[in-house]
Amino acid sequence: MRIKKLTLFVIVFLTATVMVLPSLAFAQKKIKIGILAALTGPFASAEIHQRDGVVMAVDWYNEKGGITIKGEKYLLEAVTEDHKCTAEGSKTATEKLVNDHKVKFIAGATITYINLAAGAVTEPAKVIRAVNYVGFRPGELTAQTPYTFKVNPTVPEGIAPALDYLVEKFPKVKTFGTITPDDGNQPILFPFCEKEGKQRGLKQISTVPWAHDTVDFYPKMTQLLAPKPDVVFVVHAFEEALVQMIKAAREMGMKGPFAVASYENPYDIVDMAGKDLTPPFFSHGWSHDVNDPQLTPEMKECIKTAEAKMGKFHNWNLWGWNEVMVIVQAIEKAQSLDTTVIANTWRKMDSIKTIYGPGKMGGEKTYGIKNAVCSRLAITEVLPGGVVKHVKWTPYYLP
Amino acid sequence: MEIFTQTVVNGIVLSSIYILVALGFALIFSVMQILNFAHGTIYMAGAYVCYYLASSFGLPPWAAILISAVVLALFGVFLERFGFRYLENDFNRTLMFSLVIIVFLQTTADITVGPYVKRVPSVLHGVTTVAGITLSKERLITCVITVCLLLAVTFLIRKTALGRQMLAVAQDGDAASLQGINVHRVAAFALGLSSALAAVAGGLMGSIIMLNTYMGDAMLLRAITLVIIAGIGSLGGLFVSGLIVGFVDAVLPIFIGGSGSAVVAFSFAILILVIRPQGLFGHEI
Amino acid sequence: MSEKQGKMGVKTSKRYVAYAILIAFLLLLPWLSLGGAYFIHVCILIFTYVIATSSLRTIFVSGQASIGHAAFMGIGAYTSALLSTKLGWTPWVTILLGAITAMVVAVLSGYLFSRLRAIYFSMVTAFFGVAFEALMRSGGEFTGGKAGMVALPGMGVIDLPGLGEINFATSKIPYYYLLLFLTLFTLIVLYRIERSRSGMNWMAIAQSPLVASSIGISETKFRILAFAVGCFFGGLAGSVYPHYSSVLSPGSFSLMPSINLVIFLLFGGTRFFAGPVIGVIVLMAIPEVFRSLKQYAPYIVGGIMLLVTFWMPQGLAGLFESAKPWIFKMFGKGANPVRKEFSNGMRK
Repeated sequence: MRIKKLTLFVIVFLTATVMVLPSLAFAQKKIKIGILAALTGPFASAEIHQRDGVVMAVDWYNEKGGITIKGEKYLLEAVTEDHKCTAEGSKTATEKLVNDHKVKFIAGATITYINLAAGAVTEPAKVIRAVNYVGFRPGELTAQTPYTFKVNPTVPEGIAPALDYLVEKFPKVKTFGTITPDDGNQPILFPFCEKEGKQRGLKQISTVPWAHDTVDFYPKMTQLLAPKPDVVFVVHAFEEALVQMIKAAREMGMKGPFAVASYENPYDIVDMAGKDLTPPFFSHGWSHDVNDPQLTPEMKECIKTAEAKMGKFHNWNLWGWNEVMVIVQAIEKAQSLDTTVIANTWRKMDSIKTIYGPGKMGGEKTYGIKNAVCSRLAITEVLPGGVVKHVKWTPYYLP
Repeated sequence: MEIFTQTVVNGIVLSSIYILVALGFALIFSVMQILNFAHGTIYMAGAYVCYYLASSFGLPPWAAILISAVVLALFGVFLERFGFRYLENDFNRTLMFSLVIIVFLQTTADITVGPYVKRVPSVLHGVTTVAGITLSKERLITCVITVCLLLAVTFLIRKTALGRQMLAVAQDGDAASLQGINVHRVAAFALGLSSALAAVAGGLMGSIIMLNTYMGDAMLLRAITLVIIAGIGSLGGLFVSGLIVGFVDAVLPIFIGGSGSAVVAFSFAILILVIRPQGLFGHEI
Repeated sequence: MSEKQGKMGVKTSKRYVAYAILIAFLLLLPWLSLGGAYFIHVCILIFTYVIATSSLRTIFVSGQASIGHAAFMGIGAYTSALLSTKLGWTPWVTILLGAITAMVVAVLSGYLFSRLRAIYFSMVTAFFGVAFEALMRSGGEFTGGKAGMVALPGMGVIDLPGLGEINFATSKIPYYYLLLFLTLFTLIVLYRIERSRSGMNWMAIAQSPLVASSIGISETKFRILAFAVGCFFGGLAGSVYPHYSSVLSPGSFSLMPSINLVIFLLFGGTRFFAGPVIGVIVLMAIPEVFRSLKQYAPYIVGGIMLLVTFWMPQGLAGLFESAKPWIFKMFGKGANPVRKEFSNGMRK
């Protein structure tokens, strides 16, 4: 009996020690970056690459020695939670990140209602977020959300440059049909597109919203092409959806250009829709050509890293990488881990480097707070034969 | 005129796919008295297996679909042999079991290829012009294949011994076994056949429409809708209800946005259940 | 009936002591600092699901297998959300209204659905669920469409004269107690209803509708009653959660969530009242315990479900009950101590 008790005690003691030891020995300071991404659900196929981008960037910064704050070195650590493409899932995932993993920075997400649900948790907890698709819905980015920063180019700023290039490259077109997801933004988006089109002498003659889980685009394209527009204007889409749209439209005999104010991977589009069917087509997606001098060195770094580590580079890796890039710059500029200090410093930065090139902080008038990182948009065209070519960069600024 | 033809072809494509899947579901329901909720997931699995075969082994799409059908058929037999057989048609337990199947298949798909996989290569590329109207070759061939399959299955059920055994078990399992029919074996065959049909549907749809690990959910709902509208025990009625639902799905979204067409289809199903539970063509339960 | 059997003759007073200890434990839980805000969040979720699953059990007990329960949660949720945002009414009132609306809809649809047998009833409830979700998604600006609704009002601030205030906005703990109270309330009410005349009628209908109606029990009436009661509490569970999380999306009330509720129920077992409670706690705990496995957690859940399906047809609660003789044996009390409780001879 006595011996047994002693053994038991020793075992418990050793186990406890073994469990405690790692946390003692590992004194390396870390900054946790939470990733709110869709691992399951309709947008998973896009956001998973964003997540990969963040993870690769975190590793890249760690390989360079991490971040230095007031002389101390910090490594980054990425933690991912799945928001499952629902508002409830977003709330739960954000709860996990903020209350369980105790992150102070979150990279993501991209869809309006996901951001809104997450914001309800992050703002009171003063967690800095680098988000993407900030649409027209109230509450996403306002003076009341000082810890939310929009860091990648998304929809609203993509519309005007797309239309500009449209009239430049295809001067004969007169009418367009707009197709955009049914996510609560379209009541404002359609009139906006109409106005922008009118300013350039174009008439919007059909508008079609589509549910995120639409699988078959034939009916939608039928509706869009009924009045026979010259151009299909796609504002925000997913790859699968865009491919479906192209196939359906081409099969219905629509030969005009696809103007896409969105950032899908043109190479995948060409792959899946077919190189004969895709052009004429241009979008804000990016070329992967590391030999193209117009791409920034950071972009090329990301492309090369992705090809080495993941076997393949994907468009959305850039978004993820950029999220880390700007967060790191803000932290380093503030030289502090206090998120209020970092947020204030970030707002006041005159310039900030993005993966697309130099950027400025804007958004004072548009959102009521200067939390928008504004840099440059790409115009990438798919030429006859399926060749993807980066045409130019267009800087944008949100006042 | 173009739009009209496009829509008609589309309607036929959707209808035939729905009927293929619903047929499997109805077979299981008639023969085994089980609501196999996992049927949608099997459809999805068929599509993904097809993709895997086509991409990893470079098989031509038609071969991939064929092998995928065989694989899923074996899986169906396995499920009956080691699963459903022991559950003695207890509603609660078979429901749980079908949910377990969903969990395993869905999770495997989500983890392995899930978000990274897009599409099954087309059986045929490009477009063709028929009577001056541009149509997708892909969709046309899907129509052809599914219609042939449906005819083949109907022939199987009506004319072959095994098919008639299935009908017998569907009518009255006890009476059938008194006649010397091995009910379990028939059930296994039914489940295998159903899974194969679902797999073919999945493979075909996978090339028309992108792959997505949740494609099974919507398809399951459609299948159940078809079965309800047609009525239990009526395989011929499935054709009619398939055409109805298929065309609703092809036509309505042109005019109504969002999930409007879904609401219509489901409300119709509820209406049928409430007014005429045996469906348009089924027999009294 | 089965409840008496299940108690295995433990003295009534001892049972009440056990419950008191359990309730005291639950009351103190937030202060035991077992996990912080996230832990409280999980507890709140568990409470919500316990209410929902227990109410589903009430429907199952009357022989109706509803696979659309999440839709009734949704009716409660949307009613409460819409009333509190569009009309500005306080959530304390709208939550109740949400539950009542769910109940009213249940009664109305019950007249249509409860006539149907077994599988047909299940299918029509499944469709009702799906149609409801599709309807909410098509609601455009009014219901928020697919994106759902955001910025829903919380429970606000309660001023206790002399004691200070309870502020729901600053912490999760008030919500914890609110949900705890609602859960206990629900369980007690459902338990008492089940032990009453109505409850016995439900079990009679479930076991043998023909015999029951031959004694004069109106099958339809009691089925609708069970459906209404179950959906009231389902609506209640549905209405409270959105005010806690401040967001609402239609996807939470579709077919899969309904099926999840059924899984919770079948897993714990429909036979015993404690079934849903055990089912929810175990199934919610697994993904948390096996957090390191992340994406593989569903396999564990599936594996356990498999075990339950094949070897524990009465669910997990059945397992505990059948383990009781062993436990009693271990404590040297004999396999089946029957004290004052009268075993009425029903088969075990």
